[in-house]
Amino acid sequence: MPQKLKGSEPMTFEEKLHRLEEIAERVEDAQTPLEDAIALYRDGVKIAKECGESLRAYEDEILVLKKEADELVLVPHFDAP
Amino acid sequence: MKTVFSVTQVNKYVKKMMDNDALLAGLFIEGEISNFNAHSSGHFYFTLKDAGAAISAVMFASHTENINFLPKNGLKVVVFGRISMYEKTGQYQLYAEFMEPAGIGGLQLAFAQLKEKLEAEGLFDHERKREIPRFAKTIAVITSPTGAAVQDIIRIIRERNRCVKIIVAPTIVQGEHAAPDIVRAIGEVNEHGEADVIILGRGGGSVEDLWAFNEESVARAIAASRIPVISAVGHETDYTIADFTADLRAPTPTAAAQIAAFDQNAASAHLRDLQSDLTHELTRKLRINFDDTRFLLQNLTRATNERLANEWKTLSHREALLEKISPNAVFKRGFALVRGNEIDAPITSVKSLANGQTIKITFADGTVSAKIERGAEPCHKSSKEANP
Repeated sequence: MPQKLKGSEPMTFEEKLHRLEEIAERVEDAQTPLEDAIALYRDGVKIAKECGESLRAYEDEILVLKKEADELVLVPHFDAP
Repeated sequence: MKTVFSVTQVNKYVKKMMDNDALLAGLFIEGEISNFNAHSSGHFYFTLKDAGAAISAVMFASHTENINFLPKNGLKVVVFGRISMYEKTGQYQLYAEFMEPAGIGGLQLAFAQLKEKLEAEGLFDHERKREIPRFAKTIAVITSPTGAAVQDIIRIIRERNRCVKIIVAPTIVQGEHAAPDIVRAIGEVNEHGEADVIILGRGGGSVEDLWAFNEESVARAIAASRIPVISAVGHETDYTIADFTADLRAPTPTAAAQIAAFDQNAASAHLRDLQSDLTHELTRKLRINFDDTRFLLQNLTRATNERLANEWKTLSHREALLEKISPNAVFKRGFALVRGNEIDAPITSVKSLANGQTIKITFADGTVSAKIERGAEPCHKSSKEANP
């Protein structure tokens, strides 16, 4: 995945999941200073929270759309003779 | 002198007379079949009669295979053959070579011949059939505007679909002007271009009534149509050249309407099913993403905890090391810290001490005050200072 510049476009859901993986790897890496590891963990929890929130929002949206679809009366817009 | 002939001579003579007659050598006779007998040898024996007369007839097996109907008593037929005599009995009879039912027979022959011709040209080939659209927006109906068929077709289309557009192209559907009129209508509907499918047909009738749909010009117009054509001529048992040429043959006009117009309710229900499937699929995908996120977060937390545990381990290890070099450890080995009474800085040299001066000495377990009794005597044990 190409590295995104900080402050550019927001990450997509998939990018966020990928970032979570990356963060876990860096925290595990003993070369990473502890302060950085804790900061990364803080970031990771924030990203996971965002992911959960967007998933819940999507779920709500599906529920609303499903309700709309159930109420939809399907009549093609052909020209009536 | 009277000449006396034998029976054989007479029959031979009469037979010769008959065989030399130009008319009797080949003629068409119309009559009704009676006493029909299909002999096991394959020959047909029968009597051809009309209101006032009868003639014996035979059709040999070599000719019977050329007729495409089953002769039976009471059937009016036209027979082609020659008249000759059977010498043994002196009976003259019709030696039939071909026969067809009277009236429609000629049409049937024309039908068979045209069918064979167009089939050989490939006009009926499956590969050239166009697909009937599943969701036609406009249906053209080419038929008589006054017949029952057009009413049936419109009623069935409307029952199934309230929105599809119907264009009726009125035509004559029987008589000698029917074929050119049908050809014109097919051309016009194509020129107009809006229809997605054409229903071409008429209600039931006699073979003669349906005849226009057996004309070559109509067949060619169907084949040339850019818009797919559903044929619907007469009843289920009627087959016309138009049926063979059309992209689809519907058994009846109402069946054609059912094929051409999609069922709006069924389509809606199907769409609903698809939507429901879609919702289900999306929800499933979301669940998987939830699980993925949860797993990744757990993984990250575990990694962070492990990292912290490792740091604790390192820290306690370092503390143990530190313990070894701490002042307490030095005190324990018998050293003490000497400081001035007023100032806290450690006293590191005897030079700064005078007789009677008070100092503080700190041990591992506490601090005491002490007084210097003897003044400074420079230490000459230089070996200790020189090699620290």
